[in-house]
Amino acid sequence: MSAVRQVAAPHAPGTITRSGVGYWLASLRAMIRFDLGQARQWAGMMLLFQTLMGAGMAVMYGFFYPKISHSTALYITTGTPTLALVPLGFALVPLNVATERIQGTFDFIWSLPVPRSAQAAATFLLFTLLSLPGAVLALVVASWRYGVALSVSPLIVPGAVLCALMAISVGYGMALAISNPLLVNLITNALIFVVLLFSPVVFPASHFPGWLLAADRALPFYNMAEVIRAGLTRGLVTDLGTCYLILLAWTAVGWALTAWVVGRRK
Amino acid sequence: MAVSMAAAPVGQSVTDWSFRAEGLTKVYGGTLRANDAITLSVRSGEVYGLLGPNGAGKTTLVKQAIGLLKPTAGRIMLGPYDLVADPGAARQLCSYLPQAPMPIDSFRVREAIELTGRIRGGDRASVRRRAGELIEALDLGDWEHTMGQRLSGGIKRLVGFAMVTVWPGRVVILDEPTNDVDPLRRRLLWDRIRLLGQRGCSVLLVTHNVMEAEKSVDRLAIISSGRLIAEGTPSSLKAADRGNLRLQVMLLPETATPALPPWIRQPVRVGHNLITVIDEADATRGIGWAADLVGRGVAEEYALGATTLEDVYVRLTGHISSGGNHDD
Amino acid sequence: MTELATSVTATGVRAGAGYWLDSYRALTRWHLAGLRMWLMLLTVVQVLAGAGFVLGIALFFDHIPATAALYVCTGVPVVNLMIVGLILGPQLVAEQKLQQSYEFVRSLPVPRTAAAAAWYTVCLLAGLPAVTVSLLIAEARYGISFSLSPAIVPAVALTAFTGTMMGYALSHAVPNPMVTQLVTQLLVFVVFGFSAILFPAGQLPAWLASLNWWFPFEHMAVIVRAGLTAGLATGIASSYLIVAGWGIAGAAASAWALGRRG
Repeated sequence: MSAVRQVAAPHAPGTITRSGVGYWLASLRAMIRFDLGQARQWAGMMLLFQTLMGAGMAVMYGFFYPKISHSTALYITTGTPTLALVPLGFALVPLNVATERIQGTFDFIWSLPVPRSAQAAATFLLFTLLSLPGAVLALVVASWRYGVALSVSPLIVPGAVLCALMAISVGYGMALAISNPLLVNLITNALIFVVLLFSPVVFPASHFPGWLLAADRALPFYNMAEVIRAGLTRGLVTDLGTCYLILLAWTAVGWALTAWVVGRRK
Repeated sequence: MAVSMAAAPVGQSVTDWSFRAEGLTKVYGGTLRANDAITLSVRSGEVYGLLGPNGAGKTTLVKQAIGLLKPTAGRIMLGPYDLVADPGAARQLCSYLPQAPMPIDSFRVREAIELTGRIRGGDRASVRRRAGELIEALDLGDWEHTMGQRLSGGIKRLVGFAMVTVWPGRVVILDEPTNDVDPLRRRLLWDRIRLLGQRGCSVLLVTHNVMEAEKSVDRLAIISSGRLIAEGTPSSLKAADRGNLRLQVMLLPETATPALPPWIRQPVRVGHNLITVIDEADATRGIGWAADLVGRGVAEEYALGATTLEDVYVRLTGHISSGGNHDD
Repeated sequence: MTELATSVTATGVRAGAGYWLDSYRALTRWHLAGLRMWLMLLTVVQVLAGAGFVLGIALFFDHIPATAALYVCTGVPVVNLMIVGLILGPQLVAEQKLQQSYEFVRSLPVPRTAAAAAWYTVCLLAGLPAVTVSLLIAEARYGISFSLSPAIVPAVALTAFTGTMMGYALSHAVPNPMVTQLVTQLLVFVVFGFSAILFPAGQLPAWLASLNWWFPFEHMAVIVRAGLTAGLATGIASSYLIVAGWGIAGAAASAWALGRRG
């Protein structure tokens, strides 16, 4: 007499509540795959935008100088990745968020049975990875234009990744927190403008009056530039630890804003 | 110098300010006939409706009148002016309320109305008085100083109407003026439209809401697929249906149309609705047949009533209009 | 109610100078009201482009050379004058096209030249205060004393005209609003960084400098500079011609586009 094969009864629908690290990681994978599908549409444009912005601005800065010394050239070149990452995180990402908001994408994503933290993490990871090629490409163009030799050290990897992650997290959190798209547009455009003129990204801090420098040290942009510059030069950057700390703090701010917005139910 | 149209002395020639489209044709890309040889005329002071399903070509027609599009063939005359040859005159003589929302986000309501009046040639004092009159008549007092950005779609529509009629031209073209407007204010709107007609304006009204059109227009034209397929007063259009009743059966979803007895005429099926026409004499038979359908589970309900313009519209175009008597 | 009767039964079509002036005045007021929501953005942009650049350029250098400062300070007014007509205007029209509210303004009974003149007036009004502020700040920061000459008047008027007409053409002659928006974004960079407005053309690579010569931007800077300084600008006459030429081309393209019906 053959035993009746027991098959476990399927869960009644709607009663499954999963949790735990395994679930979180599985959700992350799923969301990355989802975002990747969406990313296909604009990944190419993103690369183009970054390279043009980064390299373009690096070249532009050179025109303002009657003559370009080696030090000037070095500063501009090593500041180029920052020039590529700032518009990405603070203009392109907010624009993306605004578009998704209008299209109702967020309503869809946030209604999925996926932990919100995994959703956000997927977005950050993906954007960060996608942003690095553009920054590298811009750097290559700039160093070719200015004929500058760089001493690349392994420090560049954590530096670049942290900078990208920070820019994207803050840009994303800010765009989520401010619901008025006109205001977001205004802030991001003004921000970029101000940053590029008033932050020591492509020129040394010694040009800056003390009070302005103090403000710049608190903001992420100067720190981004220094962190990346440290990975590309030898002996030019001092006080690297503080820069890293401030960048980590800003990243935390971006995450906190994101968590707050996705967590609340209006 | 104001000339009253009604009091022309006998024997003196008065300019005929009728609006005439003759053989109006608009072809896109060599094949798409958005307007196909449309001929119609609107008398001075007449409220004339253009009725038809979406994409029929109504908006195309009026855009050619106001000079935003150029006809492929045909002409449009307003009084002695050729509107196709002289689009500048067209813009002066006609006011146009487009279907899309008005660009008044930065304007306050009264401001938008007055500025448009001034652009249309009115003097400051008169325009101000007219604006006040319209704001009161359309019950917009609460929003008089509100920015356009904060207005709901319906209120914006009313403001648009006021902008276009504060200093109207000889022809006022209204493209779906009652969209999004609440029923109470819709009535106020129709009153103002009637008033325009009484004062000598011709009103060219584009709509796909048959029931409203029927109540408020003098004459109307039914446009479908670019062609004018019927024209006349609401009663003349319904004349063919005199002595008939309308029998509407709401079938269950996914049900095939049941076999129809011979005394059921002009059956048109739109979605689940089966709309038919029967003789008044067959009223009892009709009720019996329909009740039987309900009993057998083929239909959900039925309704018997007088034929309306909706039926003419459905019969001619095969479309059901929004705001038909099963909606409102 | 008599007003209604008057407007409807008035004799036909208006024409002539009185009509033109009335339309011009009314539409100018319309545009000014319409820009209200953009006022904040506009102010921020003008301040950043003007005062921002004037002050920020010093940070590029250890000690900014006097000539470099002078070039920036005399170039910034050009940006102030052009930004509304060339960049903001087309973006506004593109947005209207996307929301389909563009057609109402086109259906208004305003002669096309009056409409263009009204828009030009508004662009000029949006630029002049910014120019003044930028120059005052330049004076304060770098101790520059400008040698103002009457040539500043035609220079400013023509620069604003050409910027406005080019933007006008971009708004009305380019049918696809997305293309217009893209081009205006690009123009921001071209104007700021790759045109010899804020620095002498000599500092550009040779091929870029010769390319620049065909476009009006460098020349706008030359004629404005000629009105603010003595002896710094050269080739003024040819610059006037090039700027005027681009302005006329923009106006012609706009006139054609606006007169065109679908």
